[in-house]
Amino acid sequence: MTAIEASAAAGSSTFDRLGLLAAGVAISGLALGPFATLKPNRILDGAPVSLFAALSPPVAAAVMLLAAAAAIVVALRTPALLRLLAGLAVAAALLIALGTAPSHLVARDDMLARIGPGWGFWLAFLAFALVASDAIVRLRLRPLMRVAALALVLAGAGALFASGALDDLSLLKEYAPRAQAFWSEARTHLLLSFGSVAAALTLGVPLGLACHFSPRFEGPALGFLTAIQTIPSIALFALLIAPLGWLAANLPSASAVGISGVGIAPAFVALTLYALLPVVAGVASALASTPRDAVEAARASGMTERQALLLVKAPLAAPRLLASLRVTLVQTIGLATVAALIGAGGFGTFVFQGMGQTAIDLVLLGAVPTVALAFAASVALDAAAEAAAR
Amino acid sequence: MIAIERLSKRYGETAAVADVSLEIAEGESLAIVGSSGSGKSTLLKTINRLVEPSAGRVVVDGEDVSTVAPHLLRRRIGYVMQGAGLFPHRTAFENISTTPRLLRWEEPRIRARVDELLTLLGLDPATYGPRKPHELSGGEQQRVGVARALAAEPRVLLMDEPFGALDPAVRAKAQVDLAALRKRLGLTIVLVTHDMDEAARLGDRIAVMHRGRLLQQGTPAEIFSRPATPEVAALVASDDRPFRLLALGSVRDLVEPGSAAGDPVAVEATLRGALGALLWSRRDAAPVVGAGGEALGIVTLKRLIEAGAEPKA
Repeated sequence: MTAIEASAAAGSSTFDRLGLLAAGVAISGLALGPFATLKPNRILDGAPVSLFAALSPPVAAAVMLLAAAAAIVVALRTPALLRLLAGLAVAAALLIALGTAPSHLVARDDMLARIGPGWGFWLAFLAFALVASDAIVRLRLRPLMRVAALALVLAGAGALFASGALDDLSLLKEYAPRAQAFWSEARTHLLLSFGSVAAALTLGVPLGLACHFSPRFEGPALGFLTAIQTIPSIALFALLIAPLGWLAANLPSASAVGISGVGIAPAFVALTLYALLPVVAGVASALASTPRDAVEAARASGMTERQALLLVKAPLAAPRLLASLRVTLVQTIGLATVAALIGAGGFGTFVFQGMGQTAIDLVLLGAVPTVALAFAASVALDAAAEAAAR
Repeated sequence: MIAIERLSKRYGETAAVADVSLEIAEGESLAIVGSSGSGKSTLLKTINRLVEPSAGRVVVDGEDVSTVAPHLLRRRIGYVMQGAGLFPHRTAFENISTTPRLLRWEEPRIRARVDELLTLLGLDPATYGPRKPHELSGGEQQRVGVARALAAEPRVLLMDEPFGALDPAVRAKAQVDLAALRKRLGLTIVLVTHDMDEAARLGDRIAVMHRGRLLQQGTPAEIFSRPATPEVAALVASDDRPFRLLALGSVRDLVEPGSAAGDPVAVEATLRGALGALLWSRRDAAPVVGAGGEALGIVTLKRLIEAGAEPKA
């Protein structure tokens, strides 16, 4: 090996490409970008505030030192567990530091001013979050451990919010007066998304089985469900107002259980219809993907069609089934936001209120938990699919 | 006994099997040989109703199989497929116990049967029972597949290119093991293969199929020495046909009185082995001895060479 080759090999093994990029982005974000934005009130545009202006000097110096140390750790080739801890530590430290910005920047009696994160903060926060999630992938955790890691991160974030350290930030200032509404909309959102996916499973699994056993049925059924999928969501909500309103007006028992033209009923029906296509297509294609040999062996061993389905096809199709359930659930959690438009509630309520008031922090109050919910559901079902594949 | 009577199977316009009749006696082993597309697998699968015939019928032990529910029929007929076809999500033990469980055997009986079969096939039950198929070699998977087919003590075993996915050395060993297994269990075997050597080694009789038709059936020696049609001739024709033919005969058939010098050959040896021994030691004749070493006469090079020649018309 020549000296040049040796130094090239040493160079490529010293640095971690993703880590180097993330460290560069994070440090330049903190050094050059605004750490926070200061708005005179919740509607006006914000003014950028740099790291050292936004935080008291000791806090700012501590943040910079910690970020620099962590940047060195992630830029070099280091063990995945160390990278994970570095990423999580900086992400948490950035949040806590941002939580101290309001008391530093704003007079105690100024109730109108709003402090939120600036793009420099976001760059650094997302870069280290990316390093942490990349480290989790590199750790090759078993499915159960991944879910445990997710639960730990969520519990940590929950503890941070509950501690009050972030209470002065703009997002939580929007939350504070709406705490009760927030949790009731959260319940509605969960009911809408998980409930409609459960309904789609109840209807869709038998339909998927019918598609599997009768190719003649599969074409028209999937065609019909695809056609539904092409209707824009707002149009589908509107289309359902008329029949459900008629039902409520003419059937006393229907209105008694809460069915009406607007509100939760049409949203629930529409979300269920949207979820049907991925469920039905997922069941049919997962069952079709089971190895032919195994299915023939099941028959040849004397299994009935039903036994072959339950004992061989279903367990072999389970990973794919869970993967398509994951797509369905994530799609539905996101789509449920739109349901607020017809008065169904859910996190979308805050999004549309915020858009109406041009209050971007209120929009975020609806959007952030929606994204977190979809992310958590995705990680959990991904782990379940992998566990089923073992 | 299995009787296939005037059986046909059409897929649309094409006939996969055309008017085939065959009988397989109790305890007999029949090898169905043909190139791909000859209909041999289709024919085999009509016996356990994996394929339903378009015309004709299959009778097993006096019972028309179309009158038996397919899943009940298949629980009494073993089936081995190419590449073993094990259930990838189940251990070897679970794979083998499939049919006994469907038949609701008691747990101790299942355990005893699986252990017995694994041992019989040369796999240690404690080591191999808990393994998943992906933790087994091709040959081991194939043996587990045979054990699964035999688990419910069937008297009939159907084999569809059972050794097709194995490499030659493992394959030869599997063929020897199967022959021994068959002798021990007294199985009736119907085996499908495209390999004429395999058919000759494992079949008491060979049935040759071509484009859905049965061209010829007979003992391996009959097929090799008197192919009935050009297609059969093409299947058996090759440079080593004389040696294949000699491999099927025993020295017992050619013993004549007399005496000769040198190492003796055993009366149970194949003619091919005797020819090899004579060629190697540059002799015209060798003494023949019985199992106990007693002298039975001689076998001559001249008779051996005649036995390997094309029979006169």
